[in-house]
Amino acid sequence: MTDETVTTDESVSTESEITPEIDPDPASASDLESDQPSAATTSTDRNGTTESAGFNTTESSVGEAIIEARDINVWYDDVQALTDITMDIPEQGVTAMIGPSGCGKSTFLRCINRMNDLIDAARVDGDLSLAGKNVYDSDVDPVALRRRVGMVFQKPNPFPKSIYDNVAYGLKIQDVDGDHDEIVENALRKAALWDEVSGRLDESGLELSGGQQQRLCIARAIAPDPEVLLMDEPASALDPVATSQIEDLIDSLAEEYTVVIVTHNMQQAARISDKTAVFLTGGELVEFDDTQKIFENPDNQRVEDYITGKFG
Amino acid sequence: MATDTNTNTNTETASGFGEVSRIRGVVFRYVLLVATLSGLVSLGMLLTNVAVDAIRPFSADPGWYATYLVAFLCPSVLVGLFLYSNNRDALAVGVEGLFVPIAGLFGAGTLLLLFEAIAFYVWFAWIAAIAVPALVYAGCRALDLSTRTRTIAVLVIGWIALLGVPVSRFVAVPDTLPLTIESIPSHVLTLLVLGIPEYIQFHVLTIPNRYLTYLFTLALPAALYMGHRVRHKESWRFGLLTSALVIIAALSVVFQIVLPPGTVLILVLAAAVPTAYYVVMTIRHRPDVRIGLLFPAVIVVGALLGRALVWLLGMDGPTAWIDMAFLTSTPSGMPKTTGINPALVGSLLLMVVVIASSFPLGVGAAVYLEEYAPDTWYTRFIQLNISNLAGVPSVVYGLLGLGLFINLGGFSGQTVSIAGTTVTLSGLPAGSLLAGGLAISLLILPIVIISSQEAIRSVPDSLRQASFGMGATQWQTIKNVVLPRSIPGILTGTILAIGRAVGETAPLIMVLAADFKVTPPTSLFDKTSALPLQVYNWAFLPDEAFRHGVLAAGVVTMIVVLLSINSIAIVVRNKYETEQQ
Ligand SMILES: Nc1ncnc2c1ncn2[C@@H]1O[C@H](COP(=O)(O)OP(=O)(O)OP(=O)(O)O)[C@@H](O)[C@H]1O
Ligand SMILES: [Mg+2]
Repeated sequence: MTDETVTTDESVSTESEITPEIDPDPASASDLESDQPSAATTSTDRNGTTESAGFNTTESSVGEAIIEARDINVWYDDVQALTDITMDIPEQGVTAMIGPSGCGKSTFLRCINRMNDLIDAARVDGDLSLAGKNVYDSDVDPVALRRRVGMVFQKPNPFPKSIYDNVAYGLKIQDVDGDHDEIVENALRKAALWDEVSGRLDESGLELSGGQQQRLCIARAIAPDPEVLLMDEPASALDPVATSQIEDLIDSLAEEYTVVIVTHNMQQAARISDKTAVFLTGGELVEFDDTQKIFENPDNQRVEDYITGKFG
Repeated sequence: MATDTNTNTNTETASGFGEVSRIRGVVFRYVLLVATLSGLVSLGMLLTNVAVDAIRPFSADPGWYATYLVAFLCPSVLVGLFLYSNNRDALAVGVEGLFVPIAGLFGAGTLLLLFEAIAFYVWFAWIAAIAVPALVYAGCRALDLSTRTRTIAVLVIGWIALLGVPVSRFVAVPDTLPLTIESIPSHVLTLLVLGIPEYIQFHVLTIPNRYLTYLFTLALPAALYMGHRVRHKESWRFGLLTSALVIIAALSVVFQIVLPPGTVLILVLAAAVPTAYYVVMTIRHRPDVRIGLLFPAVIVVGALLGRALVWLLGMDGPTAWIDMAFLTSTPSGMPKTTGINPALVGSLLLMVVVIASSFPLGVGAAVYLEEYAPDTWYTRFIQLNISNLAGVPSVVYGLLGLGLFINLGGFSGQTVSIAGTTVTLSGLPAGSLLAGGLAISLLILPIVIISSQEAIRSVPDSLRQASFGMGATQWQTIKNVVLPRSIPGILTGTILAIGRAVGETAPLIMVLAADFKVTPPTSLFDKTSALPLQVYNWAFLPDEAFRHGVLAAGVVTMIVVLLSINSIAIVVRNKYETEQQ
């Protein structure tokens, strides 16, 4: 963890220690369940028990909730983009978000690291806590928050700087101690890019191919060692080979980091994620459960239709 | 007949495509061509006319032309054609190779003119004072000290180096100090009290002379820089060798007696060193195009040969109005001996003032408006007004400058009493370098702001997002992402605006003294002349020679200055454009 830079760290770590004891897993699961019907359609009742059972097993396998969203509503000017989103994202696992275009997946991702603050029109309402601390509290510095939550964007956006400087950017601005050369090398290795660029670290990052650029952006995001990694369709512009490289990468990253990934690719979500959240048009979270359950036996008819491609 | 047309139509219909009339398009295209050509031709005619007046090409011996034709023009053209037909890349390299020494000579000339106005010991004193905190900074970096320690060290030591220890101003220091071992403590004390610039100017004036000053402040950094560059491209041995060579060249200029060593030193550093670097690098790294270097070589050798021949044969070149003497002498009543030097130096110094005042202000305002300002009705109002200000006639800016900087809005000369002490307010001296420079700055400020805003706006938002997403603050994002990306555009816009402004006459007539000024300004508050003013003055002198010859020479000087400024902008843009690909 990046201890020095985050002001709220002390209180956060203690709270997150306590949270699981006071609020054990089944409770938070039912919490979510009770919210679900209001957003989703009628069919939840029938499967209520199954859902909570499945939820439990996964939680123990991938870790406790690190991100807890409660009744998040987002408006752009007067248009509502997210409606009453409540979900718990588990630590050290991959959580996928799928849904048709414009349903608010990116918006939700931006809620987590408060990138919505940068959009004048956006207004966020509700609680979202990271490791027990509500990030929308007035004493939270969004800059400090973003140092704990890395983000990879839909389109590769390396800086017009050298490969080395790209990866070292976070280290530089966050004033990270330690051997930067070593950290950069490690980040590039984790991003499966080291072998391709080790001999030309001082060339411009823009000289890389699209897939390499995206991996460079991933290396840049993980170099300062964030706790959570948000990825907004990281493979949407890539060919199948680069995509599978990135998927492997996400798989290995999930051992250390909490990864939240938006994707339009059902197979991808099924392959790499432990949990899946399905958003549907109107900005509602229709179903959130173990990936296997969502893909094999979703509770909600609309989710099933969406996954099988009946509408989208 | 009828059958013919019929068949025609039939084939057309059969193939399915008719013909679409393009007459209007063709007419439009040629109208545009004519418009462009007539603009170019009339501009060309104007410039030729002025150039003919200034250079008087018909006053030369026909033999003079013949000699240069044989020695210089023919070989150059032949080599040029040969390269053009065989290896165009090589020709491009050749033209570039010609450009390097010419640009170097230009730079050297500018430096010499500027150094004429700045006393060399003042220059030396300030460079020495700035070098100290710079060295401290480099040392801190090498020792890997934290940013805070670094900042504090540089600030404290920089302050002492520039201004002396703050409280010690009350300590009395001796007026003169002997340079002996015993007086070292008093030297140290004086240094601490006064700071380096004052200490050097008033106590060790005997040490540097012009040549030594340039050796330490220009040749040494140049040698280090060239060594660094070469080390990057080759090996550290080569780098060391390069540094040594530059130093040797700088030292060896004392062995010639034609020109003062300081002058030759600047010529060597600005023209010879870059040229040698370019030639060596081309020969070593671009074997396929190095033949192109033949082109500048033939041109230079041909020019020297031609010069030697006409001198040996005793043939006279054109008795041009514009020549070295014209650039270096002061204005006088005689057309033959008059010169443009104070105006030229004045304009260059005005440019320095304009850059120093409008660049930080303009870029700062642009950064604020683009990156920080909220989108409210009053920012939009300010924005609109900046655009409008760019269209205000320059004479109005002249009046504004006069009213603001010299008359202090009418308060100049009035007395105010603050806490018992009476102070007489006074604006900048009329006609001073500072007042003129500030007036021109006002004029171009809106243009600098607008072009900088455009450059900043062209930085893709995805880069800002990336930076913010990494947990950068706004300031870090601007410093590390936005500015580096937009600086080429900012520079291009600003340089073009400054070029435009330096030729501006109206504000200068308002602010600067319209009378002749025979020496270049030596301080910011000194009266100055400027190129457009000088030209304006000559235009109304009764003597025919002034109104035709000298005036034309002045115009040519001014145009050359402006074109050089514009070409700097082009070079800057091209350099960054290729770098950012
Ligand atoms: N900056 C913005 N200003 C105004 N409205 C916005 C903005 N960004 C998103 N929206 C709106 O919010 C809604 C959700 O957008 P969002 O980008 O979150 O969708 P998404 O699920 O990520 O879609 P996609 O899969 O196409 O990326 C859309 O209706 C969109 O029009
Ligand atoms: Mg999106």
